[in-house]
Amino acid sequence: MLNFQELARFARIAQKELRETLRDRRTVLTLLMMPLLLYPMLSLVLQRLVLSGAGENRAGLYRLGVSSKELANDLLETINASKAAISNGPLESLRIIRDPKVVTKLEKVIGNSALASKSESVDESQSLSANDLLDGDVFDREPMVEKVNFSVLLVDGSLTKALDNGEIDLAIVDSKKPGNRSFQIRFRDGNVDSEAALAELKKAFAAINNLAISNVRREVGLPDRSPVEMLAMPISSSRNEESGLVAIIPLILILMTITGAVYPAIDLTAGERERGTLEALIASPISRFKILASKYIAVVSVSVLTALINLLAMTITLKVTGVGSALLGGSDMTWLRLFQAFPLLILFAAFFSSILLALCSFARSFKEAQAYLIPVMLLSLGPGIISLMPTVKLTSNMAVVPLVNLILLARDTLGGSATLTATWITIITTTLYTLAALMIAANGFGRQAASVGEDFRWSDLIRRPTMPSLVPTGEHLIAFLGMFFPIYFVITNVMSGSPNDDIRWIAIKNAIATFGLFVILPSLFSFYQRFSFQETYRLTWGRNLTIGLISAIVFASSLWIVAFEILHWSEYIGLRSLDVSQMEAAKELQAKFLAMPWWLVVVTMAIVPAICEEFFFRGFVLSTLAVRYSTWKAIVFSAIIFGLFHVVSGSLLSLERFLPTAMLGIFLAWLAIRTGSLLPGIVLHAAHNGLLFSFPYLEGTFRRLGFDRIEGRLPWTWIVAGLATVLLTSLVFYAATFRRSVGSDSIANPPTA
Amino acid sequence: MIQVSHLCKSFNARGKKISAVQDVSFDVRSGEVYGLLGPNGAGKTTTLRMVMGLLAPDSGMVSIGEIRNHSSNLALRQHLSMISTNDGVYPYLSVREVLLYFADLYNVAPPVAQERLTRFSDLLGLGKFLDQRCNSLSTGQRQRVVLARGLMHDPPAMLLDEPTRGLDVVGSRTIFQFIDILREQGKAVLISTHRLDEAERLCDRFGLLYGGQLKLTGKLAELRAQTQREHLVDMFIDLLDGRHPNNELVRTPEASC
Repeated sequence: MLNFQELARFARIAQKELRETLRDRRTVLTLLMMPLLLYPMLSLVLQRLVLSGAGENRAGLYRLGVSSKELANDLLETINASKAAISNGPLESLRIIRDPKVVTKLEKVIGNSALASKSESVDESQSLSANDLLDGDVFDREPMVEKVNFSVLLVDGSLTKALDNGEIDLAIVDSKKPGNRSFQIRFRDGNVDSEAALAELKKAFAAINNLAISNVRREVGLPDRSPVEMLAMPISSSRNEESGLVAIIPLILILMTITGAVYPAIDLTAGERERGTLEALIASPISRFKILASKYIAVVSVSVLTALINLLAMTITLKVTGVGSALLGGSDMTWLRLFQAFPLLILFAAFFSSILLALCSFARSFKEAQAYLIPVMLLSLGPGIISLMPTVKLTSNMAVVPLVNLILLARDTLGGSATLTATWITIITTTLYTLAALMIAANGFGRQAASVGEDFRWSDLIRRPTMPSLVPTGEHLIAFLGMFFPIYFVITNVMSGSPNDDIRWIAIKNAIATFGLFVILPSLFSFYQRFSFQETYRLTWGRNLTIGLISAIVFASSLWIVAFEILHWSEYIGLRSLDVSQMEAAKELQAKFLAMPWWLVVVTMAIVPAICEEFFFRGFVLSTLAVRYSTWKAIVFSAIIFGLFHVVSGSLLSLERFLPTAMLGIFLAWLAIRTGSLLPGIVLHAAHNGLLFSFPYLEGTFRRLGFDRIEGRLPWTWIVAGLATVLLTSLVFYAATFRRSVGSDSIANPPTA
Repeated sequence: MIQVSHLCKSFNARGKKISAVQDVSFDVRSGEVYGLLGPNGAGKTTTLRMVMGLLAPDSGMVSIGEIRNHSSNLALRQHLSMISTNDGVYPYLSVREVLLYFADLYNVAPPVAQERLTRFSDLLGLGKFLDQRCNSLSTGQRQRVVLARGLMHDPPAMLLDEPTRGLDVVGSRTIFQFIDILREQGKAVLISTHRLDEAERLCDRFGLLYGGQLKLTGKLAELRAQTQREHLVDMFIDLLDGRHPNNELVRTPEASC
């Protein structure tokens, strides 16, 4: 696309933008001073929040207030006795274990002992060792169960008052019952610390009582076991009750990243006008998109730099003050995740910078730019606050909502629960939105320079052109894809339906959705933008139609073998994202297809998609690319887009489909370019799909022919034959259409009006 | 060099259609300085912007040398340079950086750009502050940077929009000297100004623009012959008052706009 000199020139142009911002004191101020001041202040606030919020964060220290020394001694003695009771006594009746690493270990042990008791052959040594492990961990082995410490405080004056003021967590009064040790305990209803202290104390006392009971049981000769045992373990690895606070971290980082980008974005766009340099810049013979791209690089760089400095400042502050271990649980895993979230921050910076530039490009002054940006910044707080709610999940549909998807993904990455599908969808949609915003920015940046004396209207952006044009431009394609992909994604998601729906209905719904997405939407867009349908969608008989159709049929008979091999190969190199349960679901679906009549499968899964997808990919997409790029680049790029669309099917992400589909896309695009018509491509596409979907119906025939199910690998003879056929057909087709390729090029690259 | 034929442009301002330029045609030859004169709001800047390709005309055509506006906008700009009073410089870049930046924008090869940088810094006396940041320059120095910036891609045609507005005697003299240099180099120079006294001394030919229309064109001697007036200022006052010896010029028919 660009040669080296062009690239070097662009680098110098971008360097100027970077120089300009980085030499500006105001940029440096937000870059360095803000994090230096913000995080110490923030850590103070967080410290208060975290420490008052959850009792366990004070390392399990509970303060018990008493009013007399005798009672204090009594209490201490009892607590010490309880320690002994817990380590030597029977299994506690209720236990909560928080460390996830331990949970997996215990699960195994519990499973064993349950099995043993069921089969009646009680392996005493094994279940005893399990008990030992559990028992010993309560107080002694610290990481397994929280360590609990009680400190007994002698309080002068009113115990109730001290309890009220929060100086102690529990107030202990001697109830002076004869016969046993008896304590009356007062706690603050609704106070987290006080109730936690009460629960812990209850456990400690219960251990003593349990020990006593178990001693009695032993004397009487009953088995030394409690009748009921219970072990409670959290299922998620992260501490759920804290995930709300963890979400604060991405929120702060994101706010800071925005802050870093705002000033450069205004300065490099509206600032150009205020300095009086805009006109000279716009008057130079460089495309506005390139100017914008150079500015964009500068804004993203500053933004990422701000993010990095903030991340560092935050990490250091959190580590030093200790708030971090309270928030993130102190394990190194979570610290690592903080840096895993950094690429996301770059993505976010890239996305937000383009949005900021798009807005600022329309501003005539700093003031105007600020007026545009402030509402956007406030609005962007909304998704941030949403992400604080643990109930909001990054579902596949949520993953196409700009900004929300990034923030939720950052939260999930920090919490360690991000899924691959959501990550990919988020990255793809965000990239598309970014490109679309840049297009808008380039459009606006030029406009406001030239439009002296003319009112700029935002509606100009979507105004219908007065003159018809032949085919869409690259800008149109990007704008359309930015709008189209989220719609495509949501609709395919909705259409996949519930597994209990009638399979025939699902198939028909899918066909309708395909038609709406790939035919109706681009048609509306083309009609609105006044593109020539005949040129854009190749709605002609074209040239070389006969050879095109014959080649299409021969290709269809052999290409599936190549596609099959590529599929295997991409799975082999690790391009596989379906997990076992998804594969099962796919198999089940396939089985259901067999319940449908064959003709319905062919119509809904082969013919309709073939027509619609050819219309869009070999029509709209390929025509657009062919104007801008050389024929081969256009073919390859269109195939990549074709492949990417097939990776996302419903809420599934099937990476392994990319290479085979893109390969097919190359042949389809080649046919379309060479013949100038959509028809051969439709035939190839339909035949290819039809063949693949017919295999299940042909299974009986295959078996009769001596083949088992086509599930593993194809026989090598097939592969060789398939490859040879593809190669031969390609050569014949190439030769047959060669002479007239000059003519076909002029159609592929029609002159722009 | 510069050929302008039948340019028309109207704006939409607050819902009303305002005709800014109506059927303006003129040409500027190489080595000639053409003055596009007129009061504020006559359509001078709009015309210049259309010549520059910053503004698309409603109708009409501009060509620079062999290149027509319609065929390739970016190529046309390669042969043009526009300098106006409002032009600023990048405060945080050094003079050298600004000039090399513009050389890059115009796709001038780096060695050529270096050579031109030396030449123009001699010509315009930038040597002393070549590596100073632009925010530390005086108004006069800044002005010279802007002039050098316009020459970095050595265009055959230059547009100067009100080049002397807001400048003192020294600044104006720099501009006059600059225009002389351009004339010597054989460039086609198009100046828009409302300073008629200056224009009289500077320009070889004139076009008097009023209300978006070219009312009078020609060399000073020709204008004098047409209007029976000695100075451009008097000719203009006649125009403003609506009386003119050559009546058909005033009543230009509402041409193809």
